[in-house]
Amino acid sequence: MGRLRIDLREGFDNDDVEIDVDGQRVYARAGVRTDYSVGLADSVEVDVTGVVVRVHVRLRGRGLSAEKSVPLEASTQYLAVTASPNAIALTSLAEAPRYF
Amino acid sequence: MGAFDPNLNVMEMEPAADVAEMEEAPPMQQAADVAAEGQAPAMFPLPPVFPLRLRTVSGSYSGTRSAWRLDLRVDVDGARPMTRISGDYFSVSGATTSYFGSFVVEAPTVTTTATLVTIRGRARATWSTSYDRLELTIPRRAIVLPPAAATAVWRNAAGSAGASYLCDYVSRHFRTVELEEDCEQGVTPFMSYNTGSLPSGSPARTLTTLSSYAEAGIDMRSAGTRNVIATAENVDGRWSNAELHASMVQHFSLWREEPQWKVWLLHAMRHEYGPTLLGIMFDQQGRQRQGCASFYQSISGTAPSRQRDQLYVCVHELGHCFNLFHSFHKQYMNPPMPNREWSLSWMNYPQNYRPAGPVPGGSAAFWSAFPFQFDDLEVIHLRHGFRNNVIMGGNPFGTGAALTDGDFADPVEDRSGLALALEAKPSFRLGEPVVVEIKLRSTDSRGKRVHKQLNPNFGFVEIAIQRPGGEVLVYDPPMEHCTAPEMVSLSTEAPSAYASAYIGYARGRGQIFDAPGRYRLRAMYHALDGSRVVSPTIDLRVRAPLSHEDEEAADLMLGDDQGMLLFLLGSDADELGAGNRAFERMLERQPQHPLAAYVQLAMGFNAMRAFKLATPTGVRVRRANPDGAIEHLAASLHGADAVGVDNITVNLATRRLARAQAAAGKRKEADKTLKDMVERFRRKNLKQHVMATIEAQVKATTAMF
Repeated sequence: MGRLRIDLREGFDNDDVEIDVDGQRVYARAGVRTDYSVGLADSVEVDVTGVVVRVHVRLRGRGLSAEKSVPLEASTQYLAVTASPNAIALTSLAEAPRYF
Repeated sequence: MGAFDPNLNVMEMEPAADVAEMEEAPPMQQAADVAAEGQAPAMFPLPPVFPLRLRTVSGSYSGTRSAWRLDLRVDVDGARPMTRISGDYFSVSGATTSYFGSFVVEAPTVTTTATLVTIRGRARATWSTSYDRLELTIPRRAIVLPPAAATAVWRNAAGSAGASYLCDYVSRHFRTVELEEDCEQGVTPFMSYNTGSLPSGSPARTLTTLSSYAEAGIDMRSAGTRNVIATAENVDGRWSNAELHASMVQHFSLWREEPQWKVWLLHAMRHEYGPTLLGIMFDQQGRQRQGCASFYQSISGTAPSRQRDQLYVCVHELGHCFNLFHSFHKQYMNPPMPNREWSLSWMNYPQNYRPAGPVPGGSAAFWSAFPFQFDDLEVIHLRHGFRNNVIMGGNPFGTGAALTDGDFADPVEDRSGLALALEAKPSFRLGEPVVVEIKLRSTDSRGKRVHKQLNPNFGFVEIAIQRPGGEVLVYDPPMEHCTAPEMVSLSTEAPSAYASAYIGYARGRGQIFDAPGRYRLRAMYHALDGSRVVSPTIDLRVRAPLSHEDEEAADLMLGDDQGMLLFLLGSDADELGAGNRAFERMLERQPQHPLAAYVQLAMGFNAMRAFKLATPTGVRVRRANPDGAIEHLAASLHGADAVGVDNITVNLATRRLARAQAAAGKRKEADKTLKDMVERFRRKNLKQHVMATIEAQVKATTAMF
């Protein structure tokens, strides 16, 4: 059993965000907005099993979605999500991020 | 807003000082003169004359001229000059001092002689002025002498001189900020770090949070009371942003809900986001950017890398309080700027460092090159940014101008002895007339004389309105009442004066509250001594219609004619016929709708008046119709509570109803109407002096019967 931490970073502006991990809804929130004093909109941490998990992020209001297979390479795996006007980017991080 | 220009003061203009008069002997000549004065008899040799160093001229200056104060910043020499001149103007009116605007000269020409520094350039300002060419002259002084004053002369494109200011030297720093630091129980707060402890990009020195800002030209001073905050103040040992804000309000002894050069830093253990969050500028509500926090969960300890992290986080978070964005987030600013991931700055993330060219980035590369400084553009912002873009409690984090700029800005000093307040219902239906109550109160125990006529129609009170979407306008009544001022004395027994005003319809603009959304309002009173007393900002919401009936009612209320009819409280004028027909349709189709109460009110007042209309063939008189007035006003008052009509309007309508009843021969009903009104207000537990006013009004109304 490991942990997956998903950080919603730049580009969120009052969005309705849904996140599924291996088909299970782990996050659903409206009004998600990036705080540029730290570059984070929100964060969710879930227990995961296996070697690879499939993460699906959806921005309902904008009709954007993205998926990524995330290898679980550490006891806590970090995934950063950024939103741009036309796309969502999911990036696995090699180490724990630092925000300030 | 405002018709004043501190750069143009034609009536009081003096010729620019003759520069030659300011020139002094070169320092070597000065030294020789000094030596000559004390010249000893010839048998003793004269001491050798050494050239004296000259002072730099950079720093802050301040000067006043009639109703203006200029705080000037000169940045052309010394350590790390940014080659800029900037300044903030304040208008001094009576006992109030209010921020007016800021300017910056971004590419000045600097001419230096042995005796004088002359700086010329074109300014960019927050207000519109044709006198935007600045000429600054500062005599050069030896280091042993006090700094010289700076003379600023404004000119227009043709070279004609406008206002001039003589500004005394204040400090070698450009801005001064007070820092209050509090600490969560169990946290050892950062003190200092020797930058030579680990590889870096600058000479080794010991840095504190204060000295880091001093290197940027900001005099940051410890202030306030240092508190230790119990961990129990946050839930489960982790701070949320809401808890941080509440703690700031409670513990930041210098905190006020207004712009000021004061900031709070909390040294805490952990944020609810967990160990990856090392610090945060959490204050993004109300007057923003007044507080920030560092979290020591992942960076506590005395190891050099930890001390370096602590210094970095403290300076970085305070940078956000100055309205600086991350180096890699500059695109999200308003207005946006290019990101600078290559920046070796306090505002970058070491792990996000991406130098230009084929060289590695990342944390190790960052730290080995980092000089423990802000980058040039950030230093320029800190030193020369327009005041409200930088000052804590000024513009919101990352955003631009707001309702409180210009004339309606919070005064930086208010000794007027008066306090102004605006009150209104928190929400209105679309189409409902927006009526506000204006209250002027004396805070001076000796009492104050003020104008009795506080309705904006008379010009002594102005109201600024920010509509949804950001448009800001000053309410301009469709008609101004030019009147000899009536004064009233506010005292301990009767400390306040009140008025209510319908502000929904403005000259040239028409209906103001014609869209659902949030509106922000602020009032300003022009006191007898010239003080400009500004009220706190209030919010009100115009609700979207929820039903077809609400939509129809809104349409019937929101025409231009209808706005004018509400302003006039009714009229028979043919030009407003369309409005009157809309009001009649309202009473036919939706007599029970809450907005019908306002239609009844306007019609009732109009019916009670005789209406005279001049025609080519003579004056046509429509006589007062007391029975009609009774019908309309009674209906209006019947619906007044349901719709939330304000007390002052209810008072006025009730007294008018009583007069109509008396005019219709119904004296007993008239007396009962007034008696019931007094009882109704008595049950509201109004202040004694307010009840006394109401009783006096009833007495005066009765005298008219």
